Amino acid sequence: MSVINISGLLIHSLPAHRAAVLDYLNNEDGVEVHKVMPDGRMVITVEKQTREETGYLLNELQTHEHILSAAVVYQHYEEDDANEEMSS
Amino acid sequence: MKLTRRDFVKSNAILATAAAAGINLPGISRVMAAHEDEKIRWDKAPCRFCGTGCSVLVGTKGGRIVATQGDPDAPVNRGLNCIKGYFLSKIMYGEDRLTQPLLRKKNGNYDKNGEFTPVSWDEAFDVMAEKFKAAIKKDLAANQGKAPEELTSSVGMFGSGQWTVWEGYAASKLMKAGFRSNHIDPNARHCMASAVAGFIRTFGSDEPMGCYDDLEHADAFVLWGANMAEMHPILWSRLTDRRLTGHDVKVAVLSVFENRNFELADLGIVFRPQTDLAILNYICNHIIQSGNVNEEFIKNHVNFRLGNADIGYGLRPDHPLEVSAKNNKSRADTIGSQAISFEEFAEFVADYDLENVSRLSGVPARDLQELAELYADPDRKVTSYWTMGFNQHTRGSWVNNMVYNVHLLTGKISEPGNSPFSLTGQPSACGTAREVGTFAHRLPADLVVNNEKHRAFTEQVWKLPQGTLNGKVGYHAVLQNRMLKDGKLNAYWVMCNNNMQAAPNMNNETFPGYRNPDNFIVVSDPYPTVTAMAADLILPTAMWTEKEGAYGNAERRTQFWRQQVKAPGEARSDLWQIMEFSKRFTMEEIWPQALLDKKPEYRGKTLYEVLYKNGQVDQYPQAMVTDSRGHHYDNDEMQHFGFYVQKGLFEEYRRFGLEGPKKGHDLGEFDHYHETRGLRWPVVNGKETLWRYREGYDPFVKKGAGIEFYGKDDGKAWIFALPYEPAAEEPDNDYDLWLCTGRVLEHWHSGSMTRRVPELYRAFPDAVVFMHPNDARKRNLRRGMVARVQTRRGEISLRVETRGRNRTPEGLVFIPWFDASRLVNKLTLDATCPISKETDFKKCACKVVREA
Repeated sequence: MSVINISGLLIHSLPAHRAAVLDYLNNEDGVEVHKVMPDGRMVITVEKQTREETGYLLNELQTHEHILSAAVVYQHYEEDDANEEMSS
Repeated sequence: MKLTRRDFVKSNAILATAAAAGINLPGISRVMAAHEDEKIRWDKAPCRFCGTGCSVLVGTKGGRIVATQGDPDAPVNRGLNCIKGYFLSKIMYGEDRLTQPLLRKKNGNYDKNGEFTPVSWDEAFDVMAEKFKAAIKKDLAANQGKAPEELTSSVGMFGSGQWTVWEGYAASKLMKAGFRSNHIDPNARHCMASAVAGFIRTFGSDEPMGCYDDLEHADAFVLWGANMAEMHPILWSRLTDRRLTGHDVKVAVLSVFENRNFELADLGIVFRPQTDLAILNYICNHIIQSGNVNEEFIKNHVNFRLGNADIGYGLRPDHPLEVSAKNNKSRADTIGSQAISFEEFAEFVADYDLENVSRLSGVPARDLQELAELYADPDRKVTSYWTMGFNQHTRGSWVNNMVYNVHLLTGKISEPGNSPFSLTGQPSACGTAREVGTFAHRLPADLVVNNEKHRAFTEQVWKLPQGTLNGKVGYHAVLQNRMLKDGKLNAYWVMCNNNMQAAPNMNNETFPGYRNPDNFIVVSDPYPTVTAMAADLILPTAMWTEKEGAYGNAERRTQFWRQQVKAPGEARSDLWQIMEFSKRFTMEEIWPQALLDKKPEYRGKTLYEVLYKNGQVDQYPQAMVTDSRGHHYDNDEMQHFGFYVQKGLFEEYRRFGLEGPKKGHDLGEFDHYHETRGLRWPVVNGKETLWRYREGYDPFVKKGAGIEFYGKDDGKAWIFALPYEPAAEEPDNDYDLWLCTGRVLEHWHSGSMTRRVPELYRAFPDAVVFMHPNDARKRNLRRGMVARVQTRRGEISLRVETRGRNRTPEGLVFIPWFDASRLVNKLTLDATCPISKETDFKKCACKVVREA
């Protein structure tokens, strides 16, 4: 039994701060950057053990000095068997 | 390739996020479309918090809300959600949720100085009705033989921009029709009243002409005292998106300190408090001097007026500032104005030149000029946003008028991207507080109590005898607290707000008012707030999706939701409480004989039968609430009263828009709203209106008129010549700093909900005083040390913050008001805009000293 707790976030930053923001995100546990747009927008996922940990990170993202906006688009939480194969 | 459930979820997360941003991600294919989880029932509801009106999907499992997410089908938020929205599912499950009525008792009886003791609803309403009846009996004696315009009352109510539409409507009927008292006002008085006064004075009709679609059309955004990044994060996200992806889009941010918005700003302006008045006049002056007035527009669509100046500060009448003010002696004085020409207006603003205004405001001349050029440039579409920086202002009505001056001079209004837009702080400040008319001077759909025709129309819809409604404007929010203290208001019901914490000058006005032995104070709330703890009777309240509801957001969008879960214990909705309480009164107890003689069939009836079981509200029979997918929902009020209460109230209310004397307020049919993600009024033939007053968008504009501001008789909006005048209290030798109060991202308003979400509480547990490092150093203070903040009205202690999201200039400190343990309204001054009666929570004088 394990937990799936994954959120998808849209991040906005100024292009000038892209490198700094990427550096920060890439060093954050459970964060994956999937797409970086030239205009400074990024699609990321956050995977944490608990919703609380996700919450703290969201808060940190939204108040990070170079992140203009961090909006949660997708969130999923379940306590099922995460590694079970999907029937196709 | 084997795909695990985790991979599947992650792919969905990536795709949904990319889709919301309009980003194409070719590498990943959508594995499975909407995967409806059998175990969770999903349904839509507007968010419980701010006035943005995001739609969220609410997941219910086993009678409990277990999850919420941004609603991808919602035009407002397009699936996005902010951090408060992320934790929305937890607001109803705080550990100290109230589940039964609590009455102050000593030796088994009610006693103002007794301890809170659990009682039944019956006992609670018995004691409450006794107190209300005693007050009304006194009023009946005092009002004998008086005309409607002369009626007085000692019962009152403080309501909410968080009430559902029908709760506000039912409450307004209870007070205005039933108890014949206009002493009902919403907490929206503290947040939106200046916006209302601005709209009514300039356009003759409340609420914005534009909508959120302006976010994707404007080439420039100007924020005036609106910290959108923290208070309206989803609109901010849309604005940021436009700034980053549009061509040559500019963002200007004006504030009295640097906040989160400055990171994105092309032009960040910190100005000396109160000088926004002068800056706006300078912009008008620049537009005129640079030849950028839209001549055609002002010729056909605008009248010029010189507004009365020196109107006082809404303080108690014996305050020296009131004694010395010239134009505050009557309503006509404060709102008065006279016709002038364009040339006279031009001359009036000519004094506000770059040099003068730069000196007064402390803003570099080049920045002011750059700002003025954004507005003046005929090729740039400009949207202005403002929130509490404008509204909570002793000249709040003026400053609202003055931003319209700028948009009207240039004709940048009522079309995509050109929008002066007042943002709201509460989920239904517009839909309920304003549209339903829960203010001391209002009736539904822009009607007012001091207009005989408006009262007559209302009496007809409500089936009341002619002359029932009180024609005298009631006590507004700040005045209610003063009248409680003075013993003029004795039976008082506070519902769906936390006004002990929210209202200004708590030590000297609010608290003494609630604890005055002459008064009986009832507070309905889901949680034991500061306000509830100051009451004599606490009624436990059902919240948000524990009832069927409707909210109206800042862009005129009315959104409905169904009841998802049951309230805990004996908690009941505000609607249930209002209607059930009305059963306790017979008409003979509350109306004079002469009035009943005009409608003898009301003799022997209860107030409940006259107001709610009146053949209109009760005309929709009990039915099962079912969505399009066949899911069933509870409706506890329908179950209890035996008819579809919410529908009956809404359909009766809707007649004010359809048949009332003020045009352009039409709402759609009740059932239609349940099927949509909301509709923006006026709704005509089921179609919403995006931009008001412009032909082609607004069905009420006469053919061929192009533009028609039909709230005014001649269809023309008013540009007001108004001066800069100083704040009510400015720093001096004794109190040497400006004190500004406000909000933070993590908490919503007084924190009564968000502080009960552990993650949000821990993210920002205690209020701090944000100050400049030099100001701290001068007082031997450092970041993290405890300081004492004092004003002429009180003091509080809190930690110093010199870094982080808010960077104040020297001479100004900022304290958020969410913290019930550090009540900043012990410090604030109860000065209001004399026109709107909204408090200036942004400006008073304080000093900061090191805690001994």
